[in-house]
Amino acid sequence: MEHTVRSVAEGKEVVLTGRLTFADHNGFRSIIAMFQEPGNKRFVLDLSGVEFIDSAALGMVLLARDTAISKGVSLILKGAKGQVKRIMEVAKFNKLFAMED
Amino acid sequence: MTAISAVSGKTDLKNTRVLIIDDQEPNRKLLAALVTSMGVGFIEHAKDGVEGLAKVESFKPDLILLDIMMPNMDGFEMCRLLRKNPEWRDLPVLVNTALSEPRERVECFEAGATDMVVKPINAPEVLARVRIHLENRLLVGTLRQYHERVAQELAMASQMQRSLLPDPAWLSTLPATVGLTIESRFETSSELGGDFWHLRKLEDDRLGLVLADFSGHGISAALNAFRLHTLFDQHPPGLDPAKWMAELNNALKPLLPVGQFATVLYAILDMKNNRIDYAAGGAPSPILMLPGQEPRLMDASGIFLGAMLDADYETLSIDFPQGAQILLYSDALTEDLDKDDLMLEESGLMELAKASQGEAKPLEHLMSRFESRFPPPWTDDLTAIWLRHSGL
Repeated sequence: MEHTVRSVAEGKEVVLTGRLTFADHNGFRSIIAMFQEPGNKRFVLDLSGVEFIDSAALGMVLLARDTAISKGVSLILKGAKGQVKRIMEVAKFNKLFAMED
Repeated sequence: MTAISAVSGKTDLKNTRVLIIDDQEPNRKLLAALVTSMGVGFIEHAKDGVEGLAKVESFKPDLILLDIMMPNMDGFEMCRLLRKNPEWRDLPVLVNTALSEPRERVECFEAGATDMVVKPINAPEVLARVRIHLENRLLVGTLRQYHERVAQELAMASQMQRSLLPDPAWLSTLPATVGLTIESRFETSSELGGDFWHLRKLEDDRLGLVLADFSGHGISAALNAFRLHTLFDQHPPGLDPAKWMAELNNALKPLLPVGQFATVLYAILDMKNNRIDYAAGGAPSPILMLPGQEPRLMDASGIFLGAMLDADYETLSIDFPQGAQILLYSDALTEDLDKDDLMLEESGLMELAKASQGEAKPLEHLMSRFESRFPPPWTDDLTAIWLRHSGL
């Protein structure tokens, strides 16, 4: 997984690319750590460049949700495609997250 | 502890054993005095290779100090014979020799020596080399013991995990008693895994089937699988799948660290009434094969168990007439990578299912085709269950 961060109004947009798997645990934790930075009220995870996500990485996304709720940050999942979109539909992530195309 | 003290150079050597093999008594005495001075607790002597080999067996040294030029059997020959026994393949052999030509040194290592010091004996050098090899020996021994213990414990735990699965003898009676034929496969990617499946009798010849896959694999996922099984005592899978899933979710959520979850499918198999009622939490979509129809994916969407409290689930129903078949599976089947880093995906698995559905043992057929493209060991736990309404 690669990720780039850019500032948007009231927060950050994180663009993720590649395969999102158990191996990306540390990278993902550093993203979640940004939720704690002052001034970040809104986080967008742009998944349009992610080809594949495994169950461990879905767990990290759930961890991000939990942290966002506890920090009062709104978390948006954007642009999931292919297998990522399919598994997020199967897991009914639309009931857990704000999702954007 | 040995590892830490070895690094600091203060390893206690009082339980180590050194065998000194030299035909010259003054040499043996000198080496014994040196080795004693560094705290080695057990020392034995031999005066040639023949006696040396016998002492290796009786004394079981941690290190041999070996002379080369000796009567009866020289150091080269003894070393070669020693290394033929697998038990002594890793035993450090420190050769001390007057031979100093490069060719002769090479011959020492070819014969199986671990290290060498050149005569005349330089005491600090001998002490330093003996210490290094004894410390390595202790370290390797500690690691080996640790490895053996963990391997034993994991083997036992793996047995325990398999004992959670339905009894094969019972499964083999189901075609005659309820008209359902079940073929299954359960493989963990390491000794333990996070997959789990369960089958129980319900009222009126109905059966309740649970298939769960915890996120991740290995020991932590297996502990979660055991947790789930334990919850069945308080929350037995009953006749209302959606209600049971919601109940199980609320019981499981507080037990799981955030970010860990399970995909679960619970199905009530009712052969008498040709139907299946089920509820699911984000499980891989089962493949339904109705007689005379193309295989299709069943909807197994739903919130993962453990993702949030008070999640709602839905019970769905399908017709399951005689001749109908279903393949249930964990995502290792669709997400494992072949040599070109490609996955089978749902579409590929549906093709394999279609090609296997007419076989006497369809799952065996499917798995052999699967394994030819995705050979084990797999990176994730794999469970596959093939159900066929075979009729009474």
